[in-house]
Amino acid sequence: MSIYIIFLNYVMISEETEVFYLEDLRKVRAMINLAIYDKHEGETDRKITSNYKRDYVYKRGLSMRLGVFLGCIILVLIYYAYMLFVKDADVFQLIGEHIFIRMGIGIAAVLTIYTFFCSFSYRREYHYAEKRMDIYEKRISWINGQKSKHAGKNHKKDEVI
Amino acid sequence: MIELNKFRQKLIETYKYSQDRINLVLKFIGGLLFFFMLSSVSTDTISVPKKLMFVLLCAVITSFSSPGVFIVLCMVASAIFIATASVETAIIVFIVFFVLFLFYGRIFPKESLLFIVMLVGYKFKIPYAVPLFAAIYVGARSIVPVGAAVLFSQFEYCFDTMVSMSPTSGFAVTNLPDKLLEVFTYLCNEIYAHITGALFVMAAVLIALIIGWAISSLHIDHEKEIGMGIAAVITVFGVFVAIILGGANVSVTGMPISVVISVGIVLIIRLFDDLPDYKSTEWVQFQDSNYFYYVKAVPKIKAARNDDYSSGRQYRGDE
Repeated sequence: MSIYIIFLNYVMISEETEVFYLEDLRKVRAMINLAIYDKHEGETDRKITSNYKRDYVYKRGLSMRLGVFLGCIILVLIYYAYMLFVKDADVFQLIGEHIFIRMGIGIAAVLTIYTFFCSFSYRREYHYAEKRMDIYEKRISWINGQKSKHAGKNHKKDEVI
Repeated sequence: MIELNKFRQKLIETYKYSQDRINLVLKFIGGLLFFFMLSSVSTDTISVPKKLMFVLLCAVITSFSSPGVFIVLCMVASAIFIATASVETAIIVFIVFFVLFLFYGRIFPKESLLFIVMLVGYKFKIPYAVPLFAAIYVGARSIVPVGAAVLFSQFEYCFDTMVSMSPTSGFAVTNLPDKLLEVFTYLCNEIYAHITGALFVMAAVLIALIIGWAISSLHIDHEKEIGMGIAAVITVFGVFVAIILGGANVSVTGMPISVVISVGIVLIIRLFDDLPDYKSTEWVQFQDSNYFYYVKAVPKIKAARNDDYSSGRQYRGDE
């Protein structure tokens, strides 16, 4: 903030070269923006966008599925403990092909639901990280006076930042 | 009112100016209070200086860590503190928290903080502030942590009995499986006997949360306040139904008072958010080559400044 006020005062003093200092001011503001972004989200966004979207969603999903599967196994063990020790159920009633098939279907259903909802969340996360990195690179290109590598026929004309 | 608004604006600007440092201090103080409160479950088996040092260490880790790390730290700290009272109870509580962590905490660490905050709210008898806050600011993602916290609190009364059944003073490794089974059996029987009431209360709170979120997402005037009010009313009536039909373990007189206080707390939190000035709403209509735009512009309430330069324009990172 103090840098901003110093430059603001600089602009007011030097009226004949006002345009030149205003241009510097815009670049300083852009650099401050970039520094703030780097400090907070830059590292995380770089890690996210270093993968392809599919790879990122797959890796996160795999980690999620492993955790949920482990959680399901723990719940199954708790259920078995409840049936064996609290309800005094017969052990042979709890060990059967149909029991395992039902549990397998249940676990598969839970994993499918989690995969369905979490994949939306991971894709959105990647999309926003990619968007922020795009803006970041455009601003760096503008500061360096280069044409942005993302400029193309379908892109709108870059506004003055 | 103008002076209050200026004071509020000054507070917000002061916070934004030193956001990082203030967040660090607030996280440290919050962690200190939380872990100090958690240490109350432990017995005198560990000395007070050791307990305080552990609490301080946890508070320092909290101030620098992410939500995911904080949740793992809470799990470990609660297991350690409970283990000083009863090892078997600590094992069961740790398994419950671990399963919650695997199913939700790993995937949505920030939203999982609502679970911890709600348990703290139950300790201070103002748990309903969390679902009311979550209805306005978090949304549907808060259903799982809020529901889990409600269920957990409904069976909190079992904790004392579980500790008395297997105190640490009588702990022996050879007796661990038998004691663990005894405590587990007691807990299962209690859950089986009172699950209906607990589910009724959970359903009432979640329905209030969803309806509050739906209303606060509408594009009407005072949508957040209306959403919060309706959610509070539904919570009161829903919990009454849970008490009558489900036999839930909730105080009949205390619950409405708690809801009213919770609404007050959320309104105070809302004061520090950007407040819209609905009296100055403008309706604008325009079009471009592809769309017609029907825009409702509601200005934010801001205290008037005398001079932009002398007062120091606040730089925001998103400009």
